[in-house]
Formats: sequence, C-alpha cells, structure tokens
Amino acid sequence: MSAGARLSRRHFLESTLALGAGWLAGTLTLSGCAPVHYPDRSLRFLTPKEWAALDAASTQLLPRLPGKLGAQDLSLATAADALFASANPRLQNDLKQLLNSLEDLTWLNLRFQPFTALAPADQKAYLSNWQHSPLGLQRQGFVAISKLCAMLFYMNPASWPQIGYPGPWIGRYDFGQGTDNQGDLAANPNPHVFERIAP
Amino acid sequence: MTDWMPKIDVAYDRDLDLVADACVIGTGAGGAVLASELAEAGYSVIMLEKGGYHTRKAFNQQERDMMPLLFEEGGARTTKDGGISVLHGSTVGGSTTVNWAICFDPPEHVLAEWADAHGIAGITLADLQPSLAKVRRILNVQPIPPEAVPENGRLLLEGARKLGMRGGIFEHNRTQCLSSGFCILGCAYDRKQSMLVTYVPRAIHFGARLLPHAEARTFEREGDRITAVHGVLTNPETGAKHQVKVRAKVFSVSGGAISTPVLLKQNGLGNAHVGRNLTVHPTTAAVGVFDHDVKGYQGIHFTTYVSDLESEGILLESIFAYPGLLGSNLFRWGSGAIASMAQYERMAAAIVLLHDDGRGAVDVDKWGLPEIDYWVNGKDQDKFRKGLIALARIFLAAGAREVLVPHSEGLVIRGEADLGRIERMAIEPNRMAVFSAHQMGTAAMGSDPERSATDSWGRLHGMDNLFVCDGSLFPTSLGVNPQITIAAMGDRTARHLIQEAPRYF
Repeated sequence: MSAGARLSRRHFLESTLALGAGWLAGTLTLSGCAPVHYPDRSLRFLTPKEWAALDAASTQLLPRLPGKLGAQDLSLATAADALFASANPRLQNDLKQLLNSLEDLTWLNLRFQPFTALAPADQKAYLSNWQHSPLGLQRQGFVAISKLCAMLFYMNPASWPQIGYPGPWIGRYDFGQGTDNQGDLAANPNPHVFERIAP
Repeated sequence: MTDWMPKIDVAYDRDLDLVADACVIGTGAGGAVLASELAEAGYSVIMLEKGGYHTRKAFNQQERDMMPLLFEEGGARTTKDGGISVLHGSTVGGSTTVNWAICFDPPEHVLAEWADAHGIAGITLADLQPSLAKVRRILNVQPIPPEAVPENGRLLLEGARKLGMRGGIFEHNRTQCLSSGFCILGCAYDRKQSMLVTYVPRAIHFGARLLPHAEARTFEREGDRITAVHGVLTNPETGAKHQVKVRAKVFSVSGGAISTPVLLKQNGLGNAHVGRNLTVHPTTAAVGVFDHDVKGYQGIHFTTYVSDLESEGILLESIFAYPGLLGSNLFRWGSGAIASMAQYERMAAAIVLLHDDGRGAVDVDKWGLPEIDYWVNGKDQDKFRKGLIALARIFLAAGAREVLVPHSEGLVIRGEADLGRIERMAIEPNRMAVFSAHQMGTAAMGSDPERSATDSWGRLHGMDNLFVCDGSLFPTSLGVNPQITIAAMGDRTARHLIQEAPRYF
C-alpha cells in the first residue's frame, strides 16, 4: 500500500538497470539458490518475474515463525498484484521499477545472481544492504517494499488473531441499524446541522 | 424511516453545462464551509468534488477497503524521496472525513505573526471569533469527556504527570460518540461531525448542488476574471466519462495544500509563490510496550496531549492505529517485525507533531500528479529528537517496559541510558517513520504579491474572482491540528464575499 517510491523521477535506476542487465545475464548461477515461487493464478498487473521478486522479498520481511503466520501464508505478492492493478500510473510504474531493480541490481551490492536466485540468507543480507544503504534510492526502495508488505499482511484479517486485534465493530455490534450497519439512521445526532444561524 | 443524509441526483450519462453564482472546487474544511455559507446567504452554489459521495453505510471499518476508497493514492502518497507519508482525504468532506476529529482554535501568537509579518488584514483571534463561534456550533465542538479517554490516552497523561509536565484532554467534533475508534476510516455511525455530515448536507439543504466524481481540470479566463471551469465527470457505476462545465461569478479552489497548487499551476494561474512555502507538520511516533493490556485500538485514538514543549514547536499527542498502519510504520522487519506486532495489545502510542520551521514545495510531475518536495530541516530534526526523548521518558514513567522508536536502527529505549541513541540517530529520508496529515501554505496569504500567492482574503493575486480556500492559505504552519482554523477561513472568506457582494456578484 505504501509503495511510495518515486524512482521514476530519477534516472539513476533506469540507467543502472540497463547497464547491469546484460552483464548480469552472463553471471547467473543457480547453485545454492532459494526456491523461486511462481504465482498460482493469472496476474493482473505484475509480470511473473516481478511477482516472484516481491514474493521472495515478502518472505524475508515477514517470515513464518513457529505458531505464527508469515507473508507466504497470505500470498502478499498476489494481493499486491490485485491492489496495484487499479492504482494510478505513477504508483504502477514505481512498483515495477522497484521490483525489477530489486531483482536485477544485485551487482550493485556485489552479489552476482538475481535476487530470487540468492540463497535465503543472502536475500536477507541483500535487503539489509538496501535498508542501511548510503544511497537514498535503495533506502527508499526498501521502505516502500517493506511498508507495502506489512500493510498487506496486517490489513488481512487472517493475521489479526496472532496480534489480538478483534477487527471491526461492524458484524459484531448493533446500534439500531443492524449488525451490518445498513439500516437507516433517522437524523444526525448533532441538532445544529440544519440550524439557520444569523451572521 | 429514511436515512437522513441528503440524496443527490447527478446525471452521469451526459455532458453538463451549469451556471451558478459561485463554484467551489473541493469539499473539505474550507470549501464545504464556504459553499454552505454562500448558499445560506441565498447564492447559488455548485460544489465540484473529485472524490465520491461515500457515506456511513459504505464505511466498513477495514483498512484494506477504506484506504483506497477515501485517501489520495490509497494512502500511499509520499514526498518525492519517499521520506514522508502524506495522508489526505479524497472523498466528499475531504480530510475531515478521515481525520481524528481533534479541534484546536488557532494559536493567538500564530495569527499575530500572520498579521505582523505577512500583513494580513482581519486575521486576529478577535477578528476570527464570529467565524470560530459558528463553526464550533455547527461542528458541535466540545471537550472529550474524561470518561471517554481510553487507557492509551490515560498513560500519556499519567507519565507526563509523574514527570511534572502539563497535559490535557482535547476538544473534538463528535456527537454521542460510541468510541468505536474507527474515525479515520470514515465514521460508520455519523457521530464524527466531519464536513460530510455537517457543512456539505447543510450546503445542500440551503440549495447548493454537489457533484461528486467531478474533477476540475481547466479554467476559461477573460483578462483577470475566470469565467468557467471545465472538468471530467466520471460515472461511479460504469467509469464512463463526460464533460462538466460550470460558469460562475466567483470560483474557489479548495482542494487542500497539495491539490490546489497543482490545479493552479496546470492552468498557469497565480504567481511564482503558488506551490511554494509548503509546511506539513512533520510527525513521528513512539510506541510504549507495557506489561498489561492497553488495547489501544479500543476507544477514541486521539484524546490527550502534553504541551510542555509547545512553545518550542513540539506537541505530543496520544494516538493509536489499526494493524496495517501501525505495522507498516514500526520500521521493523524479519522476525523482529512479527515479534513486535505480537505485542500489539500491550502497546500505547503517541506522536511528536512539529510546528515546522522548514519549507517545501509542490510541483506537477509528468503524470500530472503532485510532486511533493519536502524534508525535515536541521532545526526540526532537533525538535524530533527532543520530542522523542520526552515521549520515551513519559512512557517509561507511566510504566512501559520498553519504548520502540520507529527507526531503521530498531531503537528500543529501556531507560535513561538508552536516550543517547535518540540523540545520535540519523534523521534522513527513509531511516525513520515520518508522516504528515496536515499540509499547508502553498498559496499563502499576504499583503505583498512579491512574497505571497493570495491576498488577505484568499483571492489569488492578480485575479478578480478566483479564491483559494483551504490550508494552502496559511503563511506558516499552525502548530496544532488545523481543521477548525481552515473551517473558520471558509466562513471568513464567505463573509468577505457577502460583504463585498456588489463587487463579486
């Protein structure tokens, strides 16, 4: 949700992405890499590559702990795909640039495989590089992606039992308009709304 | 029994060509009051609102549905370097539909500065009293009853009291509040007296016409007069678009301090000061973790404040947030994120809100969207440190086991010895949680066109009949939650127009 990266207005990532892509292609090795997951249904906005990068990042950002759900359990990358399908073009552009940078610009942090091909420990270290980077754009990218994942995770009612949040009142309480709150309300409880007041 | 909210009838299946005395663009605290006051005085008014007419029954209290529905860019808007989350509403009622309903009168010393340093006429607290009195009555402003202060707010006051600091309970604009705590997702019970349920229906009651899903785009101009505004009307059911044209004698741009300068700049209207002078009340937060359940999500989230540092431009206010907003702003990840949020029920939170010294700007990017350039300057960074240290001490005095500072270093404060970490922490974009719910100043009033965008009454310098009426008008930040001041400016602008009616109508 808070993928506020403004990468589109900087040429830095575009140029480094182009520079790095060809070089990276010749250096791929798959030994010791994390399993790459693919979407389980057709995507509306993200490419499979972008989806996989977000899926891998979300798994590191919100890991599954004993007795607790993690990002993988709530399919955060698929939720982001649905959310951004209707976002404005700037947000769409920014997210795509961010995910492609995350996946392809590992060489900037002296790693020589795409993000999704890194071992889990290396993925974690790479994200930490971004978080603490002296480059403002990498920190911006990290914050955007980590906020997006946390927002999607904790907005999902499935995550609420593990933090003790009971959720909305609607569906639980009736204040005279039904538990679904769809009944009519006769008047605003504030009596002054339509009162004519002399200047 | 029928729902009390006025029904509106908008023909979304054709182009519209409308005529009115006044056209008000935006229905937030400034625009709604201006529209209502003019309508009450007998003028014909059309309100154009980019957002939808979402009312009580649509508010389901879930972040995942309400953020995209009610906030600009679904709540994802940030400054251009991503350093500050910029929250503002995009719906009928504007940000008042999604705010925490805190009411402050404008500080007298701030108004004095506006008069003395910026040459604004008729802006003293005494001048504003008639407007403030009317606004406060219609919004039903009243103190939050002490019994409605939840544990989260009580802990802030208790810690402050133990340290000998001054605090208090806010005034708010709610009526018969149920204390559900879902205020910023739209009040599902019409208890929060936002513009959506007060001045907008009041304007309609007095004859104004509301067009939701109507985005103003271009102005027709003859010399120094605006003759019409053209916009796009989007059918909320089908997405089909039509043109809307409103011809009027007076126009007000009231889209808030981010959208207003964008519309003006896109039309080449106003001088070089349009879009400059942005202030945002930069805000950060700290979370106290207690050994007992606080259940901060229950009850009114914003209830209490500590004012000891107010003279230095620092206000401490209790707050809480739903899981998505809180979890995404803790600046923790990995197993630490899951572990931190597992303490959600034992958390109390509060913000450090700054009367900012710094300034930024709003421009238009290649998408036609706002590009917001702002970062906290050195003086304000010092205020953040001072405010966070005070807040940490308050929570610890109230019995917190630890205080979480939302910073990429994962700062945890457990005692006085840890406070140096706040002194030393880097305050740079994307190293800590900073957000803004109050944007101001981008069409600032002033007597001198060389130093301001609008005159003492909000009229754009150099234009006869084009006004700005929202937080953009503030020459400096206010230092307190601004909705009452913005609403009073709407009333004040209307009084000016009515007094000078022969000139404008």
